[in-house]
Amino acid sequence: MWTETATSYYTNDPNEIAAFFQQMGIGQNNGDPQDKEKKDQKKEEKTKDKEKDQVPWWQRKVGDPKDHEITQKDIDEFWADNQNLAAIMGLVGLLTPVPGDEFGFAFYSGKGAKEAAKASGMKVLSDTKAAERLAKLTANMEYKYGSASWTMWGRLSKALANMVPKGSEIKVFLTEEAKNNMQSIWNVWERPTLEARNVKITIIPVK
Amino acid sequence: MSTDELLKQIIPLAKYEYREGFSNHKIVDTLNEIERADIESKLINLLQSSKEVDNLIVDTLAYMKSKNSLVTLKSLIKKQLPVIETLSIACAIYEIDNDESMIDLAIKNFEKITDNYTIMASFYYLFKFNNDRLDNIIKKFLNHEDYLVSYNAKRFIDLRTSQINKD
Repeated sequence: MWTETATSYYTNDPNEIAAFFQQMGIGQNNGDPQDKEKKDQKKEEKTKDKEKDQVPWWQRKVGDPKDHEITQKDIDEFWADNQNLAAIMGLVGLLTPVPGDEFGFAFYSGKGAKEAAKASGMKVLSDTKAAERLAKLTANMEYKYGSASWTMWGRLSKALANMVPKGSEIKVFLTEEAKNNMQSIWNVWERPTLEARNVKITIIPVK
Repeated sequence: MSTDELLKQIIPLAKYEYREGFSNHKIVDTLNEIERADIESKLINLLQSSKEVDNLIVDTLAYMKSKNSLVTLKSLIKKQLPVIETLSIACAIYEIDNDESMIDLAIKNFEKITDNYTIMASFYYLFKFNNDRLDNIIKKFLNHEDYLVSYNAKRFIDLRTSQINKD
C-alpha cells in the first residue's frame, strides 16, 4: 500500500515495488542502459538474420564479414535459380542469331581475351546475371585449379555452352597461353560441351 | 621491374578474372639468374606463410625445378589437405626430385576422390607424372558415363600419344 508523505510515496510491499518498477519499464535489468542497449542490439541482429534468410544472397549488402559467408544453401539456391534459361543469360537476346548464322555471344580465355571479345561487339559470360551472382558467391573464395570456385565457374560455363544451339557456329577469343592451358575452363569444360553439340568453333587469337 | 612486381605477375590474385586461362611459364622463362633465385625464395616463403596451399605456387616451383622448395613441399604433403592440393604437391616433388614414392601417394589420394569434378581436375596432375601406372588410371575413365570426365581423360591420353609419336 502506498503511503503519501510530504515529499514521496512509501511502501514495503515487494509486489507493489515490483509492479512499480515494471510499470516504469526499469524492472528485471531494464533499468541498466547498457543492458537495454545489448538487448536492442540482439533484437536488431535477430531481425537482420531473419531478413538475411529472406533476401537471396546475391542481393545482400556486402560489408560485414558475416555477409560473405556462403552456405551450402546458398550454393544450392544458385544452381536451382540458374537452371532457368532467362536467369542464366540475364540479358535479353543474348543468344539471338545474327546474320551469318553466328551468335552475338562469344567465349573467351586468357588475359585480355574478354576485352577483345567485347571490343568486337560480342557479349560474354560476365555480361550475364548468373556470372554477376557467381562473382559475389565466390568473392571470398580462392580461384585455384580444382577448387570449389573453379568448379563453380566451370559448371556455369558448361551451362552456357549447353545453350548454344546444336550445329551452330561460335567464336572463342583465346590467348596463345590459354589455348594450350590444360587447366583452363575453356579446355576442361567449354570446348568439350560445344564439341558434343557439334558447334563449329572459330578461334580468334588474342595477342 | 622489381622482383615484387614480377612476383605479382607470376602469381596473380587467386580470382577468376586473373587466373582463368593464365600461365606464367613465359614470364618464368625470361627471368635472369638473380631474379629467378629471388622469385624462388619468395615463392617458398609464400607457401610457408599461407594458410591455404596455392597450387599455382606449387606448380611454378615444379616448373622451376626448385630443389630449395623440397623441404617445404615435403612438410606440406604430410598435412591434411584437399586431394587436388596433395596431388599438386606430390607431382611437384616427383618432378623436382624424381621421388617414386610420390606415385603411390598420388594413387592412394586419387582413390579417395568421390566426385566427378575432382576426378576430372586430377587428370592434369596424374598426366604430369608421365608414368604408365598413372596414365593407366586415366585410361580407366575413357568410357566413363559422364561425358566431361571421359572427354578429359581422352584429352590427356591423346596428348600422351602425340608426345610419344613426336619423340
